[in-house]
Amino acid sequence: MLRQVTIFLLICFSVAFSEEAVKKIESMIISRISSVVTGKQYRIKTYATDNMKYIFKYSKILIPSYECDKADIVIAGEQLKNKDCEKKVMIVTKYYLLRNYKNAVAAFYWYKGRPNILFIKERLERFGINLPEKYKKYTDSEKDL
Amino acid sequence: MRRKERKLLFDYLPVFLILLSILLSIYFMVPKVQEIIENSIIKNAIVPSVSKGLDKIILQIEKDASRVGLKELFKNKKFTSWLEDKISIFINDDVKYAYILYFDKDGKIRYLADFSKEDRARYWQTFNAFDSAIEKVLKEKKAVVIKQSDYTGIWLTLIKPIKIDNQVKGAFVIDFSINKLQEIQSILNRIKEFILAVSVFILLSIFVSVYQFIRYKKNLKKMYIDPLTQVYNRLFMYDNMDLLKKNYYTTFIIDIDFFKRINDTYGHDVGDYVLKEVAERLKRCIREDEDILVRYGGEEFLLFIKSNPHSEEYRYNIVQLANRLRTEVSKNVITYNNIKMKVTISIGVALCRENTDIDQMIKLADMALYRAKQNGRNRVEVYDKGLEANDKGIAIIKEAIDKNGIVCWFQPIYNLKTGKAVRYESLVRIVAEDGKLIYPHQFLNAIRRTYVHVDLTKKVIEFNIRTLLDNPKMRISMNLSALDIYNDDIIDYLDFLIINKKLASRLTIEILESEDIEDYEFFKEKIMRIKEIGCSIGIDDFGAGYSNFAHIVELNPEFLKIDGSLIKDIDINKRSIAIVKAIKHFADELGINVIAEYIHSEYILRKVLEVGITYGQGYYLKEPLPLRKRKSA
Repeated sequence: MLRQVTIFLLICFSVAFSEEAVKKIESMIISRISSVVTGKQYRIKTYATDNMKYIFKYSKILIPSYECDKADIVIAGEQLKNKDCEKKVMIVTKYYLLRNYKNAVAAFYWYKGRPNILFIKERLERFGINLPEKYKKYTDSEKDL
Repeated sequence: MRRKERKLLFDYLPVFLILLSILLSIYFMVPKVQEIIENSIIKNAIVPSVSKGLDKIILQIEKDASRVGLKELFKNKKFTSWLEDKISIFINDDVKYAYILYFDKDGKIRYLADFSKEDRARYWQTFNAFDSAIEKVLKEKKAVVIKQSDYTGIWLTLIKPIKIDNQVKGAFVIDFSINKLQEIQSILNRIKEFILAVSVFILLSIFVSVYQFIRYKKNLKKMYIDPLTQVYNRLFMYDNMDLLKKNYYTTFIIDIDFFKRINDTYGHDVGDYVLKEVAERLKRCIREDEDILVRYGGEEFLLFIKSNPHSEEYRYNIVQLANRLRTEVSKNVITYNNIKMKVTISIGVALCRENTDIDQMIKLADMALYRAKQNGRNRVEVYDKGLEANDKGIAIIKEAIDKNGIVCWFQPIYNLKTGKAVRYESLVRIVAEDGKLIYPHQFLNAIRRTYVHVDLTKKVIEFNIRTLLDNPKMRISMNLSALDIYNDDIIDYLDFLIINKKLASRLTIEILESEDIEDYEFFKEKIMRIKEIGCSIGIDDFGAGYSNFAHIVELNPEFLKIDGSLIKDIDINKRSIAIVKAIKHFADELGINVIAEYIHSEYILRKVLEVGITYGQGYYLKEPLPLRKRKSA
């Protein structure tokens, strides 16, 4: 019995630990992309979909905004409920959202178990965003989506 | 002994250390073994299962792409359909993703085809993952296998380059599911659990063993230590004979002088205190780690002194030590509840001898002790050549026992008023091989506390029983010492030989009153056993020892035989007359008969009769003779 409880706790702990670690890394990357997109180094007002709220827990520069129009950026991990939010500069965390939302300038998503970063060249230009050199290799054309 | 325990523990220590190092090795080896097994499975099972099929397909792709170009080739639906069929043959459950990547001129990576069951990418979709392995393939132009992090859900990635004109233009990528790794890990975990269980079992066994060892040591200490004096007991000595044999030890037997008198006068509490104090004083003079002090009997201690017998001063040092022990005990009185006692000890010493076992050494020391007592007590005697003659005597007695040289002579005990012999005292004699007679005073001391004494007693019993059987009207009185009576072997033998109560009623056991009677309650039990056999009891040499009259009454003897030393000068010593009269009066009060021994003149006989003693024996009346001669006389 003791052995079973111990194994169960170990599994829970290791799962929790790995999930937390992944979320922390995701938050850091999204914060970095947000900074690149908004040009702000701190206090970036961010509207996040419900499934992305966890990023505020780990990010030091993203501040939660509950209204899209007051936000500097929208982070979407699922379909937006508010159509007005689609007008804002967006970062998405699913590849299909990149195709759905024309204002999604960047994406950070898991694909085949690997983290992917993608910036959409035409959309960045539309919002007048200049990418630092080191991110340029992650840009792609809207037509290749 | 402490050294011996330490040595024993030291002997066990390497075993514990080896076991501990094995456990530690197992503990540290498991992850390494796990890695070796995992690598072996990757190299020999996982990768080869898809690699060969993949190589053929890549060859075909390279061949076709060299004509139309890699990018154009995958636009061809017929080709991609054919490819999917081919790939489906070797893609099993272990493969999570299978796809083909294209490296364009700008350094971008795009999907050309994806055969995965989930997360399937579209043609020309960007592959922007952080995968350094791809850079390695581009650089080395060789297949690469990398292990992925756990969070990816992928165990391994196999990347095979697709080369056109010796340039890496694309890559075939197979991602193996982590499920396979988990299966392997599950098996390895079971092995690990098993090793853990075995390790825990071994560890527990060690703990239990150590616990048992400590308990055993504690019990051993209890078992081997005399609770009263806190010195070793006889059991320790017998169990550690090997230790005693391995080294040179000088054997001392130490006896507290007149201890029985202390016990009888002041009681057992005082006696016990004296024993403790003497033991304490003896311990002060010896080396705790080298020498061994054993409580050998009631008031007897054995002391084994580790010695160097080859030293020139060996004998001198031993005698010095013995005298130091004697002085240490006697120099200060022992005080208990305001009772002050001057206690002395007698010491018999047996010096180290080659080829002499411990039992023999104890006997030699005992003989020396006996002489120390005979010579006035509070002294040290070393076993020497004079005593050695006695030792040789033991051999003669043994021979006599083996060759039926043990005989008994009989001295009549008369009713002095009627002149009729009422019984005969049996007196042992040894007929040596040369026909010479050996009398008890010449050999009894030498064989005291030896098996020879036991054998001799048995022979005497045999002789007397045979005489009783041959002479149905004869009554015999036979001497047994307290040590004989304590010996169940002897009493069992007596019981065995006496065939009926009638025969038993004609045999009286005369007990030699002596200091050997340590515990009267126990002694009484033994006497009861003799009475149950049917024999009567008499007290020999009464008045010579330290008789406690109360104890004597409890033994309910048929007669008291007044010691010869009192009778022989009854004619000139008023004190002797007074004691004899007192004994007579005491015996009359209790209805016990009194026998006077040592009647060697008519005057003595007259004096004995004057005192009112009815029974007597002695050379004046009749000397001891063999039965044959007595009949003819």
